Amino acid sequence: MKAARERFVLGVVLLIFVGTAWGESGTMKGPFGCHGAGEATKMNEDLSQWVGKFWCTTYSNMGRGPFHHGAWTCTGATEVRNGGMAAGGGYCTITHPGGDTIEVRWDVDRPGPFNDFTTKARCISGSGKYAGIQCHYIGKWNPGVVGPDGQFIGYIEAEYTLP
Amino acid sequence: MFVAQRISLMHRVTSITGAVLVCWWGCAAADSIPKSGTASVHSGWSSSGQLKDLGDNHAVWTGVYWGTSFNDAGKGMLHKMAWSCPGVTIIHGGAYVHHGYCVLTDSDGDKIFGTSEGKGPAEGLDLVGVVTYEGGTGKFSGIQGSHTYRCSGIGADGQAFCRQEASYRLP
Repeated sequence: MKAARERFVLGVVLLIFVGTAWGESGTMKGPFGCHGAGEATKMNEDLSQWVGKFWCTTYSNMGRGPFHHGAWTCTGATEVRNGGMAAGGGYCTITHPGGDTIEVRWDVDRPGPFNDFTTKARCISGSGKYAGIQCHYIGKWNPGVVGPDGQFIGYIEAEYTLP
Repeated sequence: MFVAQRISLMHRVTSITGAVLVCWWGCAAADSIPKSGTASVHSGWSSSGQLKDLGDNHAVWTGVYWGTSFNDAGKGMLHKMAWSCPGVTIIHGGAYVHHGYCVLTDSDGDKIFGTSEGKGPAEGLDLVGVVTYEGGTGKFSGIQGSHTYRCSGIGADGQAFCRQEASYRLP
């Protein structure tokens, strides 16, 4: 009986240790909806530069995690060639219902038309329960949907680790 | 809270909205939808507008909500639609009433039009209300019905998350 109790206590201690040392990690997928506002400068017939901000919201198909119910405020500078996304990047702050934030750096990963390109990003910092977060994600704008007032829709696939 | 977020938007400079990100209708055609039915939908929003303080706890906000919506089933009514909802919110003593008009656009460019009437705060949420469809174009031509919405504000830039429950009928 005593041996069984000792094994149980040892198991609990090990679980706590492992949980503390490994932290939390996971993956998520979910829809990504944004609205952009900015200025475009036409350089020549084929090339324009767009600089502005965009505001997004994300849901996780898991219903939880660092990107679920995230409100994004992003900066961006993009190069538009032949009517498609050629290059670009910027930063985002993701605010959660409790006020904790995650900051990310994003870049165009695979150029393409506005309804078929990808972006990639990584976490650079976090606050509150997201302090020390590490993450990377792919934003898939395929098939993207672009609304008449600067709305655009895609999907995000992310991996993250919390300390 | 939602109203407080809007106040911060007074200083936002909205220049050429989505100048580069305008219509790109080469998208894949949207799924056809049944002639009638219901839909559970989630959506994300941003907003921009101006708040006019009228004094004695009275104020009026005028502006536009922009949203994107997703059917919980991953297809069907209101899935992957872009929303524009200009409107006015009358604020008095911490409560507010919203009147607006929405146009919803899908990837084919087909549209749904409808009035939006809301109020808040209510039921622990920042805004609850209903959009009543007044018609549409393309596959949504002659649409009748409505959806309720329940929204919570988040962040400092006028963003919000909403849930919609829709019921509709097509001719």
